[in-house]
Amino acid sequence: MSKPTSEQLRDEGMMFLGKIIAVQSHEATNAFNVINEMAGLQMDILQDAMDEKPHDVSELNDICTQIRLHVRRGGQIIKNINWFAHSVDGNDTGFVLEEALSRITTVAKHWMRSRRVSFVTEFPDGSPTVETHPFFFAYAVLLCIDVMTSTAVDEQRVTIRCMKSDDSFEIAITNSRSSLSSKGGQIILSTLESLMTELGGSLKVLLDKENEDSIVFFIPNRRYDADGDLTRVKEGLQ
Amino acid sequence: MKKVRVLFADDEQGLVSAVVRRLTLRNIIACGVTSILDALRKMDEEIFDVAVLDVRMPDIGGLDVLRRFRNKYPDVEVILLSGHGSVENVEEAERLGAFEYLQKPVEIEDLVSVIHEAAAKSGRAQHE
Repeated sequence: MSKPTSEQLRDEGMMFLGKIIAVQSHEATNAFNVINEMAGLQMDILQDAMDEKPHDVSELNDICTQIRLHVRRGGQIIKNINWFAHSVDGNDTGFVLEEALSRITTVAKHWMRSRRVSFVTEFPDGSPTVETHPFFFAYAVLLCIDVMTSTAVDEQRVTIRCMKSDDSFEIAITNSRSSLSSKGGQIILSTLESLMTELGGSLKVLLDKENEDSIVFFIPNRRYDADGDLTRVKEGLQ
Repeated sequence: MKKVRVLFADDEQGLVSAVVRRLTLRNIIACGVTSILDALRKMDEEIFDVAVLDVRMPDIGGLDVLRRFRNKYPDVEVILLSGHGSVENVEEAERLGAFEYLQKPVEIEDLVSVIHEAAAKSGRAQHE
């Protein structure tokens, strides 16, 4: 099976970005719909009060709390959209891994909501700042989650374990079952290998080890130079 | 006066709570659930005139929802709510027997109006 070229990867990446933004904008719309109905309910109760009908004023406090909750929710979704949109720039390649994975798993939950997936992220060495292309990194993690969860029928938990060494970091994504052995899984694996090449890294697939499947990414810390090429490792990272 | 009994299903809990409350304030007996499986369970337990269902639910999505409801509860009129319905979806929904296919956000007064029209057509109106 031939791997996607760099150009194909960028084209597929743009389509993928479009999918992410569509998923997130749908979630934002959901949040606005809730706010809209809560505001309408507020108006209903106030109208009852003005009409001197029986009403529960304490309910207004609950409604205000809910409105604020969903406004915050909408704000987080917008921040996620911003993060993904700017991630394609590749100019600012340093990011906090924990924050990035939080955004990525949030998008995954929305995108794959029918699969009932929960995530556990582990940082045995603390939460590092890493340097790599943020979009290709996010794309790789999301594709990996997709192939790790597409065959399951029950609720499932995906574990993402992150380890950092001096000049690289390692991400292991594990689930009890995956579709890696299928034809579709192999196609995704081919794309993942190309993404790792773009990031200057590599991957390893572990099937049915202790009743779990895992994909492990090994990614060196690198940044882009003025010509848009990945350079060698930057020293002095935390 | 007959009170209409409505089952409202959407996976957004906040939306379900607000809409059920607003329908109740408008003299409709409303029950809310956040999954199609819970909706089907409620339909087995209680009598409803109208079901208002979000098309895009995580457990059973799309027009499969409508097929299941129309097969199992042919006397209950179904109103579908969608965030973005194509013309094809609307036509398919009408062919499968949806009473109405509404785009979110729906004004509460419009929803109440459609619910009453659907209840009038329903063969299982609850008497009070």
